Amino acid sequence: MLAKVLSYGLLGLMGYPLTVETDISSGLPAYETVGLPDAVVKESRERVRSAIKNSGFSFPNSRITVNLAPADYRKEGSLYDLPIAVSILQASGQLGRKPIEPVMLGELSLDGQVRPVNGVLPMVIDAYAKGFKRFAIPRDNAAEASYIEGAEIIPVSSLKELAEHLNGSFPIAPEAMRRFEAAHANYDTDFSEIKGQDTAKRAALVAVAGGHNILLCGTPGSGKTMLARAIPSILPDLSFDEALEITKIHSLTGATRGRESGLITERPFRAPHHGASSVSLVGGGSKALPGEVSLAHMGVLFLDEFAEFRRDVLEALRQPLEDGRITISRSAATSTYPAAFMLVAAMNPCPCGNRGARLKQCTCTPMQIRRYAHKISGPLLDRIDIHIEMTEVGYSEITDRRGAESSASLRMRVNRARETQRKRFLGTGITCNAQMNGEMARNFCAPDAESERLLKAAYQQLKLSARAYLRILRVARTIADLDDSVKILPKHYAEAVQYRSVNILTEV
Amino acid sequence: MTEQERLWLWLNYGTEHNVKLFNSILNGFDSIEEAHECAVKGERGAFLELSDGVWKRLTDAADERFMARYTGWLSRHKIGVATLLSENYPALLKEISDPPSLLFYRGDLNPDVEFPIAIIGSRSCTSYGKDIARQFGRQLVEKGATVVTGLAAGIDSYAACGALDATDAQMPVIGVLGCGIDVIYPNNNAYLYDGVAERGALITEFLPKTQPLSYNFPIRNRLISGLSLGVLVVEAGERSGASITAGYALEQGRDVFAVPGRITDVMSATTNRMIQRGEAKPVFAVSDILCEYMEGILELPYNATAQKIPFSSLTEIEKQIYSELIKGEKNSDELYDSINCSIADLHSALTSMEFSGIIKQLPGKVFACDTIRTKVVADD
Repeated sequence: MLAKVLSYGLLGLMGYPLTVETDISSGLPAYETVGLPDAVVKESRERVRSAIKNSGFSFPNSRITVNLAPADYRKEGSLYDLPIAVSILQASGQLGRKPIEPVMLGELSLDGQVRPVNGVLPMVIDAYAKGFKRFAIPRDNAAEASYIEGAEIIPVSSLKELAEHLNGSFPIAPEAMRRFEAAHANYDTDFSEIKGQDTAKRAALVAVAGGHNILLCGTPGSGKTMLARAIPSILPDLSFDEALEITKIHSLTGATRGRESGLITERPFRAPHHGASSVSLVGGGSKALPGEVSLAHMGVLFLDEFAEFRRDVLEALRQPLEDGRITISRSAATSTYPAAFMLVAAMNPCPCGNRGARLKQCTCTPMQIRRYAHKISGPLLDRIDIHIEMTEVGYSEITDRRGAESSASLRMRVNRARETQRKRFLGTGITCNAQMNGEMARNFCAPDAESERLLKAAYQQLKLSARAYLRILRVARTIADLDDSVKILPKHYAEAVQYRSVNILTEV
Repeated sequence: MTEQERLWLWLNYGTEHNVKLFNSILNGFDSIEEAHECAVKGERGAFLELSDGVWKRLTDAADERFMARYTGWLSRHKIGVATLLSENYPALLKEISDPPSLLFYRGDLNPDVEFPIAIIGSRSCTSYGKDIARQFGRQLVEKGATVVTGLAAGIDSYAACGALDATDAQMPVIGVLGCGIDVIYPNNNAYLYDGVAERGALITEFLPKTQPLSYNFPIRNRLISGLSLGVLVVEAGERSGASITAGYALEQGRDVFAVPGRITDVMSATTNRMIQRGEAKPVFAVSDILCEYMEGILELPYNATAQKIPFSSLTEIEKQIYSELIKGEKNSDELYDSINCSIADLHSALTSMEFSGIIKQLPGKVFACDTIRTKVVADD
């Protein structure tokens, strides 16, 4: 006889409903899986057979055909073990004749226990939006799915337990709905721990407040990495929708399994090594999985030793930096992932690292410096609004006379500035100043007569490009927002000019 | 091109601009026509001890078609040729012990340049050297001098830029190359090459297509000093090519001037040493150079053209910043430590002071007073 069980599949972050159909007919004992299964799905036969046997059921000794419909999508992963096992049990009459309602996901171990799988959250969100209300998912994945209001999540620890739930003998209590709480738990570095470097700290605050990308350029030991690691501590609080979106992506790579809260509640901070390939950075592979740019979505992508990354890797960043998402095309699949991250890049000013330092002598030739600086292309630099140079900290600054502001207080200022921006851009599809395009920047940051004079002076004396001019407008808007000023005053523009790209990358 | 220039071009090509070889061949014959005649006929015996390589070059170049190609290429690229006998060969250069037999040039090779002064220095220079080279280059040209430079990176280029900044000079600059006339080195100096060729002249003794190899530069340096009345060394580190040029200048009996630096500055090691030994005259202003050649020169300080800004016109923060920076360079964090204001206000004040020319920004977000552009004066 025939049995049908619902499950779910993913193409990138887009889901589609999937039906597991099992037919048992008389004939020589055989087991066939159809519907474009990959090797892992095919192997499920052995897991399913043992799990059924070890859960106290009998494995039918006849001809079994399992079809995963729709048959033209490639099915990957171990998440169909559970629905296949349940459909075999029903087809062989061991579960009664009642149609089985919940959407099922889960990997089986040989003893019938249910193991966690990847991508539960994006599937549940997508399925719920398409009208499915009940889900049977591995207990270890239950937490991340329990934030969806209205969805009934049945946490399953073993095949036997699920069978008893389905035939009504021992129903499982649905997982309690959870409320989201943004965590600002433990960050490595607090801003108050960074001594000196007030200029760079101010630049970082402005960058975070407006969502601007930032390039830290400085001598070794000037604290670039420390500053970058402190940046997550002043990122604006995470909203529930943002947390869901971040968790959806991380769920694909299995990072959410067994997490206490289920959701990712802090903004991601990704720091790939400079040996990274472009696939690991932007995503790809045969399954078109998300890369670091997507894992850093709504958080920080920190690229230390920026100039040491391979050129093609850096150029691959241009599209996500521009669009906030990345489309990966592979023979098996084409997927689009969000990738709206804040880029924090750090690099030395020259190959020997001592250019601009006063205690040490730079030993590089002008040619070497130019070659080094040219590793970062102009179009890429144009997407980085704030450039700041850092030099080593002197003794007087290590001892620090002024108390530095703590991350908590800076974060409050960031939150306020972001709130202003959110209101300003209501209905325009963007959320922060850094995302303004040329037309919006000219609308929202139009300088008055006095500022116009100042910008004209900047334009002529500093030989700014049109793009650099736009950058200054955007950054000035953020500085005014931090200052709670509706109007952008000349002093805001003047400060923004200080964060332009200077010396090292332009003039050699 | 005259027939005489064509023959010299032939011998110059054959000997690969080797001055000694050129002269010994020339001395072995009654005239260069005779030497050419012998080469065309293939009479190797007429030449004394010639290596196979040189003989091959000489006979190759004696071919009419080769010469037509060569001169055609030169005229297409607007490259001129001046021999020792040409009218426009620089007179000062003839005085040195081994003047090149033939010069390639672009631009206008004016034989009686009124008074040429070479500005030389290291390729890697400090911002002090950069500012001085540019300012002195400009002021010298404005006073009627012609700047002679090697057009390498660093001091050479800044001196040339400064010379070209002086707008209505007849002959602001002569660039002397250590490579072929058609080779641009360093390659980001292309715009400077064109500027020099347009308003002054580019000169080299090297054959076209010669690459800028390190051993070419000392050879080139003797021309820089040879073309000039005096040589100004702006900045030179411990082992700098500039000291070679200064050595040639002393041999050739030219004046040597040097810009003094702080004794702790590595880039001023050679200049300070030359002053100490009495080899060079310390120079604080271009008038120190001019007074050696002209009568009645008035003191012309390096900041003669600086715009005067009264101290009282500065804002409170700007006054504090200025008072700090006049003591020496400081980066923005050090300024923040010694000035009583918010970091945001500090940054906007720095920008407006940059624009008014009171301060300038150096690599590493370091600020310094720009004493060439502006002069902050106390209120009387």
